[in-house]
Amino acid sequence: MTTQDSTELELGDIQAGALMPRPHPYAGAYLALRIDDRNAGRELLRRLIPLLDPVDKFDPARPVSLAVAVSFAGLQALGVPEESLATFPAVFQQGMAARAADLGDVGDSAPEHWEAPLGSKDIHLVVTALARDTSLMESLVLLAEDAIRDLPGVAPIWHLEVHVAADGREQFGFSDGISQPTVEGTGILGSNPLETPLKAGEFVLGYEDETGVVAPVPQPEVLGRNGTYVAFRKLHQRVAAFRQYLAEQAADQAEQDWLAAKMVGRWQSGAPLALCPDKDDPELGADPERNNAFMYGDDPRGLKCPMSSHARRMNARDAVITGQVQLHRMIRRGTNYGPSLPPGVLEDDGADRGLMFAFVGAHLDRQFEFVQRQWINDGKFIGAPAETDPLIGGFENREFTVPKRPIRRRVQGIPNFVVNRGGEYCFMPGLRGLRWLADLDT
Amino acid sequence: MTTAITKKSGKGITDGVISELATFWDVLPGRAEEVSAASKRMTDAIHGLDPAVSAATGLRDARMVVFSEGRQLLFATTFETEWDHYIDDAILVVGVGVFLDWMQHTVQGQEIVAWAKESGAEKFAQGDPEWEAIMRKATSQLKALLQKNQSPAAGYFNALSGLTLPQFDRQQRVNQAFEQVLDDPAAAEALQQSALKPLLELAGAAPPPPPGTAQL
Repeated sequence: MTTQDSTELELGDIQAGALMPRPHPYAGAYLALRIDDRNAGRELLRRLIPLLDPVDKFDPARPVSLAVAVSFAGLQALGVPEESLATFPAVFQQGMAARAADLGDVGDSAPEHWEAPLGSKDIHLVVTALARDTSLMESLVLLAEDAIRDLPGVAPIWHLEVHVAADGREQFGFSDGISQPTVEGTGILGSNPLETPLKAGEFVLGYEDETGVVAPVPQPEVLGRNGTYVAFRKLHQRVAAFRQYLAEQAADQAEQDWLAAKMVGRWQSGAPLALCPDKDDPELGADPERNNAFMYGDDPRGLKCPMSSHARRMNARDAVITGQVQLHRMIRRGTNYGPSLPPGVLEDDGADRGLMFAFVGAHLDRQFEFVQRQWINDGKFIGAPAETDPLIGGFENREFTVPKRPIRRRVQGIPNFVVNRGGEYCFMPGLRGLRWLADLDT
Repeated sequence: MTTAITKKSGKGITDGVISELATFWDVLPGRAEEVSAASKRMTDAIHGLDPAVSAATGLRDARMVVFSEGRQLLFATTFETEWDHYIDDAILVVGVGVFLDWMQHTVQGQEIVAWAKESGAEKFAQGDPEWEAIMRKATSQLKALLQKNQSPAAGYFNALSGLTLPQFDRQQRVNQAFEQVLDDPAAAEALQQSALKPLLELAGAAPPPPPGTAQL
């Protein structure tokens, strides 16, 4: 066990992409690369490192940013010695596809249905490019592609363009990305002033975490310290099915909006049910000072916000649940891909649309996998074992209870609205760690 | 009620919503009485938890048995959800100190005792915030120690595995409310409404057996 005390965060070494809030709105791209020649891979890292901002140099006004993460297969492809590889956690070594059963990636979400090459051992390096608009993003992608162009030993094998609209809404129509934790020592404020800041070790390796220890850091220290883990998932959203289900369950549009809000935990504007349980308040939804400033302690029965709603499951705050919320928080980034389904359309047009999800945290098992298994695909922690997350739970024919006076409402036969099209676990090293990888001479 | 054992949870067995954990410890020579007393203190501490805090542990029960003429200790619990996923949470709630209290009298617990000495925890009294802060750092070691001394059950049955504690709580409240309704002279007529037919069918019966046992 490491018992080293927490020290000041080395913000000059942590990739800005790990901790810094993203611009809003923005366009972005995920590029996945395969490294066929370790020397070419190292050269690519040398070229990318100058393009990366550390947290302390990040300028929110700057229109573009890049982040680089490496899969376990990528570390192998770069020639990281076995004794170092062995110090990475088992779930990371296995990769997301191998963890499918535990993650609930079954049925349509099973790895055999994933979009190639996601889930394969060919995903080595993932570069995320973000910019304030599409043209800037395209020039940023060109910059990244320039870095690859004369490196035949590195092959771009997958590319996904993503975007967040000015209204910040995801494909189901809800304002997204509102709730983010405050991380001690970063100076970056979370979105809920009522929540206690979380220890940096929950999100960055090498620092004390919420259990009071410094978790094992991949070795050598220069590689692991100031790094973090990232879980990418390309989540296809069945928007038409979502709308159809709501239409079947509700007598009119107002009731559809109400039921959808109960399932999500927020109204479409982002206004939380905890603060406005009866009707949407777009002004509140658009106010970053207020739209996440609440707890659930005054609503133990879920009469305002159902215990099983998506948002309350993802962060139960001060509500009584089995377990300790602070051990399972994450930094979550979600960006849309694909065209939106026009308002009012109930038939699926066959387009691939959804959300590119990115988890950031120092504990893949205790955070990402726990949330996936316990909070999304189970209900025992809130005393409702028959229920899963009504929005993103990964099974068919589910049920959801809306506490309500005089009589609770229970909807059944909820289909699967979200399908995982593939993903991977990556390690996002600090800048010194990336240089160590680039300078390997194995 | 479903009581089929469906899957393994870590090294323990899951039955319905319950997972079991059984750990075995060698008691240091001559420490049988101390370990018994400390075991009692641990279960007393769990008893004394605020109900909301207790719910957060997910603990259904905890049993500590000194056996083999004082040479061995069984520490066994059952737990809503899965032990291996929630063990960090439970330790955080219950506190490392109550575990260390009895572990110090066991052979296997000596490694965590040695750590506590090295870390300076001995300088502070149990319950002191500084002591608690130091002891929290032993969480991962304690977790590893519990898992190292865990032996999987060869078989496991829990008659109340079909429901969670919040569901029991709700059933109890619903039952109390139903009995209250039946005590009202107007109940017989009110229950004739078609929507209340399922309740009417239950109204003539004696009060139900304890929650979770009705279908055994």
